[in-house]
Amino acid sequence: MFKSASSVERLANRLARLPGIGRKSANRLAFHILKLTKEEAFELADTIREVKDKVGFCTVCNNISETDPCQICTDPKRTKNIICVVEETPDAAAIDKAESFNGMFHILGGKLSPLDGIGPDDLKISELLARIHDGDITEIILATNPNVEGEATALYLSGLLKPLGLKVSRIARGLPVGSDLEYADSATLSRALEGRQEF
Amino acid sequence: MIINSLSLTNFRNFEKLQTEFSPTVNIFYGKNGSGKTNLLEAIFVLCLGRSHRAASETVLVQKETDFYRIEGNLSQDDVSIELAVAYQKHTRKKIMLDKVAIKTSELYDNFCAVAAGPEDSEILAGSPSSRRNFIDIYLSQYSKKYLRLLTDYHKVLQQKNAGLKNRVDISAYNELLVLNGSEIILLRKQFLDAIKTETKEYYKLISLGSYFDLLYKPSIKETENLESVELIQEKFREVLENYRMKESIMERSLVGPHLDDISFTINNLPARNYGSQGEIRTAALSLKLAVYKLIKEKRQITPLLLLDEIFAELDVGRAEGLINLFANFDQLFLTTAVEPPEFLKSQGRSFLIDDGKIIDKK
Repeated sequence: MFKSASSVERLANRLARLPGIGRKSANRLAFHILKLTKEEAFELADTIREVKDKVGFCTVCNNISETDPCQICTDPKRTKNIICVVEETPDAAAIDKAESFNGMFHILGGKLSPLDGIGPDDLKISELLARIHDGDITEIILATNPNVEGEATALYLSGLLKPLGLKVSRIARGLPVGSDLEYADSATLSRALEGRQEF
Repeated sequence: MIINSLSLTNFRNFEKLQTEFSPTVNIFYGKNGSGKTNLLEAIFVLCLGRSHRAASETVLVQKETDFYRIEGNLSQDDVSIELAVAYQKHTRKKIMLDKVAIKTSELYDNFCAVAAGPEDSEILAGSPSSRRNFIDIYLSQYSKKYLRLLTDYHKVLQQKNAGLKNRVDISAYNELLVLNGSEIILLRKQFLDAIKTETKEYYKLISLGSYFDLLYKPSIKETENLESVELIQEKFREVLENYRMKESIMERSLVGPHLDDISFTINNLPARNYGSQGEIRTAALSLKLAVYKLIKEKRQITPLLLLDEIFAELDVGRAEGLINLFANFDQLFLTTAVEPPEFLKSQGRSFLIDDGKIIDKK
């Protein structure tokens, strides 16, 4: 079999470790990078270096940020006493983009999943408790994903937070806006009915 | 719903098979080991994505090959549907409806099938897991909510067991287990109550007066107060609390619907220990008649009926009586090692099976 240069192979091996990249894609990417001009390739390398140098985690909310605390935590226009708890950074970004929430975030960095060896100590839960202890927090919104692990995480947190005497809420589950009832799957529909509100 | 045609590749002892069916009665006959039951199984897998014999996917694949494929043309309310179920070893099973991949749960939304055969004796006389399998297969067809709860329940259970092994806090998973599990227990209770009433009637009729009864025995050790989810949750939490130490020592989950059982009695004696072969087979068939009736009423679709060797011990008169109990079936598939009864042969088609092939069609 044709054997390519070992450094190209090494690059492909590295790329294959990335999420969603299989063996074939990794090879294709490696050969593509090989064909780039030196400037283009170095720019890619430099960007990766820059990201790792500059971007870190906010010590308050665990958001990714180039400053510490992050821009959200230091934004004077945001309400400080409501915290929305999410699993990962993209979840917070999605909620922020919806422009319906103007409070603080707290990123857990995952969800309770014993199968993956992730317990409460592996999530940023003590940091959340510290924030509640130090600040004037009135409400915690649990915005973990509506699947088994997300529900377990929300249940665990509400067990910890409710005794502290603050309002603990869970985001609603139900129908996507602009969708048709007839095309909704039965699981979503029954959740929507369970979570119905007085009109 | 009607299956118009079926084609098999490497399924059990069928290397290649392509055949059309009658919309009414289809009889598979031939000697033992020819593959009659395997054909019924293939039809069941096509409709619901799993074997009614609770066999693992790998045993469904023909020896020395590594995949099977079942394809069928179905019609439902005069709409023609192409359905395919394919499995390749070490990968996930694929289900395609009109060439679009779907989830197993979507099969349950659209199709239903009831199978009865010799293996049903296991429901009464076998291990608790065969009884749970029985409930799961048929309650999932009866209630869509049940299938969803069951899928989630098993995910929660896996997480809880992993948590017990890795010694992490599992309190949240215990609570989810209670929330999902209690609804499962309630649905099982309601379903089994309905089955009980129907089965009693059928059994009395077929056995000429004998008495059948069943009792649902949830592993939370409560058989009385199962009327509301709240009552069940309360009991479930209490039992889990009592088992907490034991579970953490044994490193696995020791209580919940995954360990439920049913006890059957015939003439007030436990069927498992005292039932004769004949009594157990009659009771098992009565259970299936009950399930068939309940699913048909609830879903407003007539389930496919798959009857495996149910005439083996019956004379023709009783066989006809029995078939008539499955009132107004749409499409029936049945197997027999002996010459099929004339009243059935005249209604549809007969297929002579030998060594994984259809060698004659009438």
